[in-house]
Amino acid sequence: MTSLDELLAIGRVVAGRDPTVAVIANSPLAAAMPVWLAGTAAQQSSVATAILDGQHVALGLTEVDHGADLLATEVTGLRTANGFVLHGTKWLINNVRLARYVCLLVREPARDGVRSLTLLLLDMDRLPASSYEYLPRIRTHGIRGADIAGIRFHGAVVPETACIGKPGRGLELTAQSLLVTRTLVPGLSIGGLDTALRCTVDFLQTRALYGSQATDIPLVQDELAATFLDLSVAAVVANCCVQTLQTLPGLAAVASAVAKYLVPHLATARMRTLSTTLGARYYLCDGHWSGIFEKLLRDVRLFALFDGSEPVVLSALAAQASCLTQPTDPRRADELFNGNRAGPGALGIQPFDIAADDDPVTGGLAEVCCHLERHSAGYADLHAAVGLLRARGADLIERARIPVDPRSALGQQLGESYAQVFAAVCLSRSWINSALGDEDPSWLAAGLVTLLRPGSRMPRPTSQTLFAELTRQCSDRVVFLGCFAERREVHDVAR
Amino acid sequence: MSPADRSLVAAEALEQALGDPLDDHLAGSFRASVCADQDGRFPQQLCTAALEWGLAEHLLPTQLGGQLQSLETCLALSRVLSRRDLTAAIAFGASMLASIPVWLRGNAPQREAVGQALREGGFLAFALSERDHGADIAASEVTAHRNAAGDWCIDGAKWLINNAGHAVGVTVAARTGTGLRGLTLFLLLDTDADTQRWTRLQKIKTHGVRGSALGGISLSGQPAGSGSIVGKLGEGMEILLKTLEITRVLVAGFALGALDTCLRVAVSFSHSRRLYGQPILELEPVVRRLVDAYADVLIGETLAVAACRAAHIRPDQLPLMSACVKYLVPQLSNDSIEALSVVLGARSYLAEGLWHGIFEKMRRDCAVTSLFDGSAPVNLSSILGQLPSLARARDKRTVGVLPAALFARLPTELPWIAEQNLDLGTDFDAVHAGIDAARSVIEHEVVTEHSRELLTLLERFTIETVLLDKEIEKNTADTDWQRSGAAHDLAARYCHLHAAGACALKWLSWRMESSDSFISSGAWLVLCLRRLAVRLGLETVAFDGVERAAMARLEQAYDRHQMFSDLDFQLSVSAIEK
Repeated sequence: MTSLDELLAIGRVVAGRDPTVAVIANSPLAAAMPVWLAGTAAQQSSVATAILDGQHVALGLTEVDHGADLLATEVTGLRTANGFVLHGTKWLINNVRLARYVCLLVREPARDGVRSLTLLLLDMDRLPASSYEYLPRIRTHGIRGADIAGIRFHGAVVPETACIGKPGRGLELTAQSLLVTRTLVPGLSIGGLDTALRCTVDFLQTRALYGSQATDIPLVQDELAATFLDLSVAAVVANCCVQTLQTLPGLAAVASAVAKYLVPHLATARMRTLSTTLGARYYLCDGHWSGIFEKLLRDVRLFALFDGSEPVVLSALAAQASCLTQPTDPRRADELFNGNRAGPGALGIQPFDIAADDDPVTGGLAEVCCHLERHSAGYADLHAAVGLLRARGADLIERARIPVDPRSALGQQLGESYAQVFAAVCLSRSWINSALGDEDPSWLAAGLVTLLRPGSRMPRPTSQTLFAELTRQCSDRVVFLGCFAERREVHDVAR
Repeated sequence: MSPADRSLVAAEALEQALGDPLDDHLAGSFRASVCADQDGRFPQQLCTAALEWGLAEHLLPTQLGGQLQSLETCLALSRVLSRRDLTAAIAFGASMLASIPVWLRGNAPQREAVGQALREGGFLAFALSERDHGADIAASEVTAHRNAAGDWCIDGAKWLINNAGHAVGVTVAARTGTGLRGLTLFLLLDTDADTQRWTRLQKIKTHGVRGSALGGISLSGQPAGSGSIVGKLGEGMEILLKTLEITRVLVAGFALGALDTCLRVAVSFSHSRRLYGQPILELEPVVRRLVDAYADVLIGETLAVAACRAAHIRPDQLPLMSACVKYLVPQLSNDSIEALSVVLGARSYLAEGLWHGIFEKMRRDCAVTSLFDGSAPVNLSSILGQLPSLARARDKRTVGVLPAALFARLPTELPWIAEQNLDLGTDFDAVHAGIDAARSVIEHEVVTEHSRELLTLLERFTIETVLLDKEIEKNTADTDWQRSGAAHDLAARYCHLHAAGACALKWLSWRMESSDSFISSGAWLVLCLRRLAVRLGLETVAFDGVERAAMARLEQAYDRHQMFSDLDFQLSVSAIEK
């Protein structure tokens, strides 16, 4: 593994075949993230050996009465002369019944408040079988092949050396681990949506309806084009967010939350509308392409939910939105959009700050708007889109100045607004810096509108050109490049 | 209990007979529903329980000694069944779909035979769609031709037919000629066992309603006597379109039942779940989602009940009302279920656990209501086709008035549906006119704390209608536009405006008689209109006394074990729970 954006791309390809496999295969990274970020050399080495040997890792965070509310953790790790004595139950843990290693979040009774939680690395091979038991496997809506269960500890003892990072830093380390994992989730959503779109196009291209081919019907073209646009926008935003971790680490906390909220939300919503276009076939388990659409619809829903549900990540964004009011230099974000990728060896994961101090990406909104305005002569769509971006940006800054409870309705709206504006700026700055910056900006205009006003309908001429591009890419490629990829881009992960 | 709402008497009796869905031992329990679904097994026990109660009588018209008299009663019955298991509900729905053509145009022997089959607990199937032509009925390939003996022989395969797996009778649409008068309906009944009239195709596995006997039938030249034609040769298209106008309204019942259960489990969860030191019910975003879902129930119920009554007394309005109901109520329900899944969090993703995972099943099941028997695109196209007339009528002020009975609080005895009056298009939208009617009344008569906001909202809808009508006029000649996404969006928006009219008319009718201050004060109408306006992007989300009052009202329904509804409907609850 050499870079996060390569990981994102791989995740996309795997999820495009089977999101269940992607989730399971992801666990060596995601479940063991605390070890990669803060483990000792010995811990990292043991876990790495186990993984390369085909063994599994599980991340034990959630409990039946507390989802994301980690401070309410009830599983305890009592520090004694022999090490930590574990009591309590973790629930809804992927791979726990198969795992060799478990990263377990426990509360140390002797500690208080935000320093009461510790992450422990459990070697299940070393735990006596009598000291714990697995709870039964749980049936789920999607990713049905995943083994999701629970584990109950009663007096299991792990040595002092099981501590990952500093004791009492469990909350922070968990947040930092999830920050990285969340940034990679978009790849899975995009992979699922990509295949769903291909499946739909493939079916409709051979379907006769009302005397002509289904794909000749304007409504069908409009829906497919809108899906293609959303997919393309998602890909750009996902890449920018991953790049942020590598080139602008101070902003990682924002990028991670934007990625985790926006892309899964968009993908899930789009799959619902796309299902209407595919028609009755979507509802069949053995429909077109072996019923893959029906499965993907259920699988993709997971990504907005796990490892930080929508309310949780929107709160995270709202909680740090004051960074928008801090002076910043947009130039510091230029590298993000230059298209330069970090070379091999620069994996770029580290314990990031869990809140940003300032935002040089969104800080570039005004100059982005000016630039696009200058190039919008004759392009009414772009002119309107820029107006919308300006207005939404101004509204966002205003809101960011007002203290708000992140979990309240206003807080959630602030988070959502931040995500949308951040993404719109990413899309704009990428576009400006790419070879596409000199081309017809209709697709950019449509992309901005779909981010800032989800569910909007693009003008028919734009829909037609996007549909043509979609059709072209369908026959040429195994994975969609999207409409914002530079023509001469060499990146070709699929082949 | 309030003065007898006759349409609810049967439904409440069925509800009590089926018992508390949280009582795991019962056939009508969530547990039974989820188990059957998991196994892909038809929920026969629930259906048998309903039949033993007497449900079959409600599928038979009074002329046959049955109790099918009011569509509103059917709607209420469908909600009782659907709130437990959509698979069972749609199985009876499919029987109804197959039998209505016979009630409308069948001859006496046909009605007797169908009546008998239903009374014996048999299911019927309506064989319309084919593998290669879903909604494109005109492209049907199943054909019927007369053989030397003068019998009709039907050839071909119908596919994606509900109840095909266990139907004792099938109403088949077959091509007997060309063009619109080239389709004929045939009734085939499996009376004696020696020759099977049709071959059953393999069961089709689905995303939801997994236990459905969904499959297909194959016919290979089997002779059907001329007595098997329903109505006359070539009348198939007309009969089925009229049938669908009626059954589409009842689909709203399935969606409303599913939404009731999803909202109920979300409210239950919100009470017990604590996060960050408080019950999640203290979080405004949670309350927002619950209230929005509640508003959707009330709007959906308003539309559906009115459409049921229109079938009886204003069939000219039915083509439009039916299409709007069929599009909007499933859409509202499915959207709300998605929104409620965020309240439930991880539990929405589990097929077990909280209430046996009924939410997860309902989500998959309810999705079918937008899809079958006139998918969303089909209904939106139908509405689009009617919009020019509706716009013209508004322009020329030739919009008629509706009888009070359509939106009255208590239903009156209505004559059975007069098939000859059923039309295929509506010329003016009298329901939409409720927007203007309400404005007028509020401006001149009503002064409540909500008057000003109501006027503002109604004004917005009026302006939106003007814009929409202009857009229709601008594009009348553009056939490309008619088939585009923008046109469908417009039709969808129109449904919301139509719904606003319906809510306005209901409120005008109810406010005088209702002892419920939520209604008489106008808060009810504010809630519904705000919801519709937000969905149209005309308003931003508000949260004030109206939402708080709505929350209190829905909590009260929850605490009293009543359906989420404006109707006073008591649900069955076991002694333990009480």
